[in-house]
Amino acid sequence: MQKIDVLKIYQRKHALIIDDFPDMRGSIRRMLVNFGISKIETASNGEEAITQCENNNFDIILCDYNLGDAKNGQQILEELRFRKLLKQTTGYMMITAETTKSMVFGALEYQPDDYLTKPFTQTVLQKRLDRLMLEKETLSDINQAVDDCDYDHAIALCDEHIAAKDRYEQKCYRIKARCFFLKHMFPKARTIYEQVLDERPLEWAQIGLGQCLMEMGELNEAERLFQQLVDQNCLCLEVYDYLAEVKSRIGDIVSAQQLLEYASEISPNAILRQQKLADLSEHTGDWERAEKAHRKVMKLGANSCYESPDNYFNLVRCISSQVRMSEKKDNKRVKDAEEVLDRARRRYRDDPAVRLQTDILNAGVYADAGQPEESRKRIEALAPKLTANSASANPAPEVTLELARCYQAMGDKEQAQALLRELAELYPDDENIGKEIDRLSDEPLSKKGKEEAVELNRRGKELLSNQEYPQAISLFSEALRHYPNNIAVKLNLLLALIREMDRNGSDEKQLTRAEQIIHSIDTLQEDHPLHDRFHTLWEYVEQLREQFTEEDDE
Amino acid sequence: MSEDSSFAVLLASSVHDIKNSLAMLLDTLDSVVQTTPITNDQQRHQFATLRGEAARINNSLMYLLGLYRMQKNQLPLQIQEVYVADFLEEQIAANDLLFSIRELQVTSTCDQELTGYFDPTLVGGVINNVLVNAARYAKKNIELSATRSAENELVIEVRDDGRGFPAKMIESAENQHRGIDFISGSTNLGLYFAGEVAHMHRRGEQHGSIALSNLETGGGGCFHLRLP
Repeated sequence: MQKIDVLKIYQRKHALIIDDFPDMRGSIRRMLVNFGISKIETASNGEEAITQCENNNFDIILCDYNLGDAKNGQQILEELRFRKLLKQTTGYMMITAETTKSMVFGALEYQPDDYLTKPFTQTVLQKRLDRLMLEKETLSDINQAVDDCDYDHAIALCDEHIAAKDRYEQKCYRIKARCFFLKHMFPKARTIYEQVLDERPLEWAQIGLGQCLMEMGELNEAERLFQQLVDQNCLCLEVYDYLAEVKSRIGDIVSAQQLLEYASEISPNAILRQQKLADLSEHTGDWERAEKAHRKVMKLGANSCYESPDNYFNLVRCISSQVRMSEKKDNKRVKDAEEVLDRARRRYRDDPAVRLQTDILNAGVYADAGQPEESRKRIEALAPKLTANSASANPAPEVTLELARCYQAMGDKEQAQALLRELAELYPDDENIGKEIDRLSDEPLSKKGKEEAVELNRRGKELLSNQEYPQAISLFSEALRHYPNNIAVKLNLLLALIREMDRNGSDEKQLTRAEQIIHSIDTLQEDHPLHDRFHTLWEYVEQLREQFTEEDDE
Repeated sequence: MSEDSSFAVLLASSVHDIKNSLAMLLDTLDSVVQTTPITNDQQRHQFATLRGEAARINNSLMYLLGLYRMQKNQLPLQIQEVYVADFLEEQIAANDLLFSIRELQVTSTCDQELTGYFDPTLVGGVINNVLVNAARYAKKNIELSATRSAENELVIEVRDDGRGFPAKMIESAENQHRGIDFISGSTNLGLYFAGEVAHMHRRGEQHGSIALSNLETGGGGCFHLRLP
């Protein structure tokens, strides 16, 4: 590139330097001034950096990875990308003190454009920046199209570079494949990734291919690929999330939970992963783990783009469930739950609907703690606010859902079901509310849920009679994630697990899974239509466990 | 937190502090050198020592952390497509002041379009170390070159016109993977690191390797790096 061209390019650029050391900021600023950049801002921590990005459109961001105790450079980058404060056209260069790139990053798209290791000289920085600026200039129309979500246009532009076989050929393959993926044209994206991988085992292509396989339902292939990446110590933690997703989709919830636990240990601040971990842990009945994850979500969510009253409520529900299941109703745990509820009250003091929901949830905690009278008293006290205990009179569906939960906790199933049914009629087309209703109900009530249940039953029966047990396990596990209280689904999953173990021998993971399911419904009432069936399956699993332990001892 | 991981955190944060100091030291040193014209040989020698030793501290830090991570199996290879000519120029640029103090001519011969697949950070560390060493012994010239061999390997070579490598060193470069000989001292730590980094690069069954040799005409040493 001609020197004069570079100077002209730099003159137009707006740069941001993020470093906690004033001396380093000064030193980098001097270098940038020498390159011809005049508009330069600085920030000493993540908060300042994000404010700067809210107010400016930077072309270049130079960010130190290690910023003391606060957010590191990778977390800043992820937040900027997530909040769409950073465009594809901006060059983000990470400055690291470690010569080895041992820092982890959440997702492939959260990788910086380039890494520069400390210490570096002005000449080295200039060479790197020249290259980055030239790339951003050359590919600016493509990046612009991606930013605008105009994927067809981006693909067409990529094809020009690919035909020209220029220096951005490979980069354009990568962008093109990603565009196809975002357009849900998975076979096309897959072909590109496979072509690239024929030449070299590049990580971005491996991850991309795995994602395509997942979308196309080729779970075994996807599992193999992601496992390979995990074994290679891949720094992109997204890989653990994908492998966990694949595992839970094929019904191996236990491994899925372990993977997420591991990834959470490496990077404890990824809130979405913590949420998923909490979810899966509740699913497997690992309440202690779930509570820990919920607490983390609440802490990380505060004052972030993930802030939500549900972060508090889910934690309270988790504690409350533990109280419900424990023999001795520990009063301290009730206090723990109420402490979280008080936090929510303070946080949402100006939101009457959330406050009402908080109070109902609080009443529910007492029901779980074996004090239904206290619960009922509190609900009655709330009556004026609830107008009437009917869904139609309540503006917020969350409040009605909470009330249904509370009635369930008090053992008043009919009242709970009535509320849910009413709510389903009131919001026939709202999928999110429908999902929540079906989660709570022991049979699907929403329009979509009912349709799905019929289909699920048909496919499940077919798989079982064709002796395709692994597929049946996968199907019912997936269904249980949507209908965690559905007893029929639980029993079907139990049956599929038993059949599979009958055929291929017992397996610790599958046995554990079966026992978790049993534990989750071992209080099933005797008058329940499925009670006898459940007890037959329960006894069978106990036998399998005994045999398995004996074999192990030999 | 386990003992190992807390040690890793301690190590990483110490390295971070040292690197920050080193960065400031080098930055200040560079501006001193630029604003103070060199007037005599003694001064030239002092500047060269300051700049060269600072670079060596930096490289030693890199091995320390790199080898520690290698042992813990925590040094993942980040393979990417690299334009080799750019890559070599950057390694030269990182030491240009050192070369100019020592009045060395450094040239690089490489096809502008030549690409390779390797971890530029790790291999960059290796080449940088070779260059700093070569700057210590070279009389006038250092030559870098990169080509693709008939076996489709990327071959990077660094030649100097100094007095060549001692036989013992050439031998120890040949005896890769016999483990590190701590008794013989740390002088070969850089070589060991280079060999390990090369070996980590593989394509199918083929691994990367390093070698040292002495040039027949007028002595001088040559460092060879082959990447599959």
